[in-house]
Amino acid sequence: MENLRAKRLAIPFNVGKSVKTAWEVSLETAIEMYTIWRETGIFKMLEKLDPNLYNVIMDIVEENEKRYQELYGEEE
Amino acid sequence: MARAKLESKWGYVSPGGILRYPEEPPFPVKEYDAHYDHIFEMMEELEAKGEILIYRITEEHQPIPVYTSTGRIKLIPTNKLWHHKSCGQCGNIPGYPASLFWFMNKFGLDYLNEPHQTSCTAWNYHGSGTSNPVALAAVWLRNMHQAWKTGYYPLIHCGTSFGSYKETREQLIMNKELRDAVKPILKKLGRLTEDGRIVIPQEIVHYSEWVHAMRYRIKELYEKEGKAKGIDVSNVRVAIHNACHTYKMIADDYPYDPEVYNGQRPAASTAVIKALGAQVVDYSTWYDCCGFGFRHILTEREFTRSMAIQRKLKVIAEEVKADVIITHDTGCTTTFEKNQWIGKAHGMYYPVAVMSDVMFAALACGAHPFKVVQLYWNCSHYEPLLEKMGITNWRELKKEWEDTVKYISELEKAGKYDELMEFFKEYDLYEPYSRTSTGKPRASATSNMPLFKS
Amino acid sequence: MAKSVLVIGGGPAGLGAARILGKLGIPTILVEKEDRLGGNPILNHYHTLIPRKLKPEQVLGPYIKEVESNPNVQVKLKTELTACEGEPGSYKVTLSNGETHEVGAIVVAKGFEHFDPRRKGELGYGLYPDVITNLELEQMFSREGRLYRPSNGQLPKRVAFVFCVGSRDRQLGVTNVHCCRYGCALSGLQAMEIKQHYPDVDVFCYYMDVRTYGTWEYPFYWAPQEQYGVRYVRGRIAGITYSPADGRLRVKHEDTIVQRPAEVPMDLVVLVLGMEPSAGTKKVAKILGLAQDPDSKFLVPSEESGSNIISNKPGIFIAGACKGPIDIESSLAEGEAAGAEAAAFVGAKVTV
Repeated sequence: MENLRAKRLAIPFNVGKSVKTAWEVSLETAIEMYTIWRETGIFKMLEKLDPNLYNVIMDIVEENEKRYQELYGEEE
Repeated sequence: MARAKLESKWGYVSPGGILRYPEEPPFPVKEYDAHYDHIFEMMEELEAKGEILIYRITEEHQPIPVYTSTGRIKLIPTNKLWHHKSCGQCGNIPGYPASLFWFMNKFGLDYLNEPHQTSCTAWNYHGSGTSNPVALAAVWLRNMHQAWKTGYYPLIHCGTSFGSYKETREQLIMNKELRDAVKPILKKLGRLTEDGRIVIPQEIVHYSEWVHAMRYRIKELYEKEGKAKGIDVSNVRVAIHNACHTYKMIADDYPYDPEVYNGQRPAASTAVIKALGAQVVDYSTWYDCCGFGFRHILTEREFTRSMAIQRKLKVIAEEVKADVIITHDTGCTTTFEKNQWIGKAHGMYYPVAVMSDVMFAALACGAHPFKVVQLYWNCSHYEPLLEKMGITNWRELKKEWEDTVKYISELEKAGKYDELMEFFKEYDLYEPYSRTSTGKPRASATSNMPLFKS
Repeated sequence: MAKSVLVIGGGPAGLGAARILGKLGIPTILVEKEDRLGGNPILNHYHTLIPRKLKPEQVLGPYIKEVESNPNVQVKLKTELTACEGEPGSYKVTLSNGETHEVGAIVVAKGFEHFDPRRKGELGYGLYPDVITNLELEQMFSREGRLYRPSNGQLPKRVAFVFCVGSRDRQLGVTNVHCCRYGCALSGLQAMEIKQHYPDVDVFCYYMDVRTYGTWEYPFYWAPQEQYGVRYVRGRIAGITYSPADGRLRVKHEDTIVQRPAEVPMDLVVLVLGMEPSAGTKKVAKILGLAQDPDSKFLVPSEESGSNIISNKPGIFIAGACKGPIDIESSLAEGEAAGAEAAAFVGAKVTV
C-alpha cells in the first residue's frame, strides 16, 4: 500500500498511528510482556519449535531490554 | 443456592452484591442459576479469603444492566473506561476503535486510551497453541491491574480477547494451582495490590455490550444529528453476524434481551440495529461461523474460504439480498471482506458491504466516513451502502480525507513535527499524552516513530 | 388416627389412588387444580396413547366415572393444597377453598410439565411457526384431525422429529439431564400415524439412542421403519433456521453414521419435549417437606424403603410423573399401589 505511513498517521487517535505495531506500545509494557513470556516458558517453547524465529524475536527482545536499561535503569 | 431477598426489586442478590437475578426470568432462560454464574459467588468467597481483589463497578461508571442467557443481571459500565484495544482492529480496521472513541466523545464520557496495554496474546484464539494457561492468565491480570491502577474500568474491544479472558477467568477462579503459579510472576512485575492480591474485574465487558447498553442514546444521536444530515437507515437491509468468540465461548455471559428474538438469540448488535430502525433480515445460516474458525484460517485455509463464501456470503447475498453484514469481531470482518475477493477470483462473487456495529452506528449518526469510520481500510464495496443510507457526498468526503493524508505526508517529509503535532491536536479524537497514566510521553517499544522518540 | 386419605392431583396416578381407596371403602378427598379430572392426557387432548394405542377417554374415562360416582370419594375441583400441619396419622390440611380436613395419609400425584423449548433458542420454537412441539402435533390430530404446516395450512412434504429436546441435555445445566422415557415410543407412534394417513409425506426421526423399552421395541422402533418407511438419522441438531428463498426450515445436524455435518430442508419440525416436575409438584413438596432430587427437582422416595412410592415422610405416598418421567399405564398402577399403601397406613382392614 503506498504511503502507508501517512495513512496510519491519519488515524485519529495517537496510539493508533503506529506502523510497525497495531498500536503504540510503551517500552516498559513490552518489557513486562517479555518477563511474562520468559517466566512462563513461552520463549523456551519457541526455541524448540522454531529456532530461526526464536533468534529473530530474541534480537528484538534483547535490543528493547538494552534500551530500557539505558533509559530507565537509573530511575529504578 | 440460597435465595435471600436482600432488595425488593431483585429476586436474588449474592452477599457481595455481584451475582443478581430479577424476580422473574425475563424470558425462557437456560437455567436460572447455571453453573458458570457460580463463578461470581466464588469470586466473592476468594475476596473474603484475601486471595483476590474484585475491581468493582461503581456509580461513577454509570452502569446499565443487561440480562444474560441465564437471566442474570450483568452491569455494563459506560463511563470512565480503560480501552483494552485489539491487535486486529487497530492494525487492520482502525475505524472500529475510532468510531467507539467518537461516540464516547459525543456522549461526553471520560475514557483512557494509553500505550501501557499488552495484547491479550490469544492471537485469534490460537492462545492454547502459542501460549499456556499461566502466561494467558498473567497477561490478563497484568492488564486488569493496569486498568485498576488508573481508576478506569477495562472495556475489551476484541471478541477473541473477550472470549479468551472469560475462559481464563473461569480457570483462575476454579484452580488454586493456577493462581499460585501466576502470583510470583505478577509480584516480580509489581502487578499485585499492596497486600499481595491479584485484581480481577467484577465483569468482563466487550465493546458490543457497551454499544448494546447505549443503544437508546445512539438512537437519539441518530435522530438528532444523523437525520439532520439526510441520513436514513430505514431501508437498509442488515444481516447480523454474531461472532463465535463472543457468544459461543462461555455462552452464559453475553447479553440476551426479551425484545430481541425473545431472548433466544444473543441481543448484542441486533438490538442496536433495530433501535436505529434499519431492517434486520434473518437468513438460514445465522448460527454458522464466518469461516475463520479459530485456527482453521491458518491450518485449513480452503475450509475457511469455502465456508465463508458458500455458507455465509452466498446465502446472505442471494437469500436475503442484504446491503451490509454487521459484525462485532475483527476476524469476522476481515474474513467476510477478503473472501469476497477470493471468491471473485474463482467466479463466485457475492459483493456485500461489511462493517462492525459501531462503525455502522457512527455512520448513521453522521460521523465522517473516512476520518472517523476509516472506511478506507475496508475492502468490501461500501459505496452502495453509503448511497442507500443517504451519505451521497461520500466522494467529496473521500477527496477531503485524501487531501488530509497528503498534507500530513508533506509535513512529515519536510520534518515539520511541531506543526504536525499542532495539527493533530485539532484532528485527533483523543488528546495525546495528557491522559495517559504516567502523564508524559514514554519511550515506545518500536523505536522509529519520531512522535514517540523520547 | 384419622381414617381418611387426601389424594392431591386428579391425573392418572391420582385417579388410580382415589379409585382403589374408594373401592376399599376409605373416605377419600381428591383435590384437583383444574376444572375437570384426567390430568394431562385429558386436559391437553392427547390423541393416542402408547403402548397399546388406546384413546385417553378409553383408558381414563372408566376411572373418572368410578371416582366421580363413588360415595366414599369427595372430588374437589379447582382446589389446591395450601398448608399442612400435624403428624403422620393426623395431618391437618388446609385447601385453597378455605376448608380444613384431618387426614391419616396423603397421596401426592401432582404430575409433570413439559420442557419449554424456548429455553433451547437455537431450535427456533416461537421464532418460526413451522417448529412445533409433539404436544401440538397430538392436538393437531385430536382437535383438527389433520396434519398441516402452521405457516400456510398446507400438507408438509417432509416432517422431522427432533428427539430429546429438554432431555439428556447437559448444555442446559443440571436440570434436564434425565431421559423423558416416553419420547422415542410416542414419536414412533406419531410417525406411523402420519404415514398411515399421508403415505407420501417423508418422515425423519433425529435421535441419539432409541429407547423403546421392553415390549415397546417392535411396535415403536422396527414397525415405523419396516412397515411405514420412517427414516431414522442418528445425530443431534445444531440449529433450526428458516430460508426465505423457499420458505422451508433448515435442520442443521451431524449424521453420525455417515460421519459428516448436514443441513436438510424440512417443512415441519416436531420437537419431542422432555418432562419436568410441575409447578404444583414443587409447591406441594415444599408444603409437605418432601425430598426432591437436587438437580431435576423430581420427588424422590424414602431412602429406607425399596418401594419407590413411599416418600421420606411417613404417611405420605408419591405416585406417577411427580417422581420422574413415566408412561400413563405405569402411572395408573403406581397410583393404585400408593392408594393401597395409604389404605394400609390408616389401618383399614378389609373383610372379604
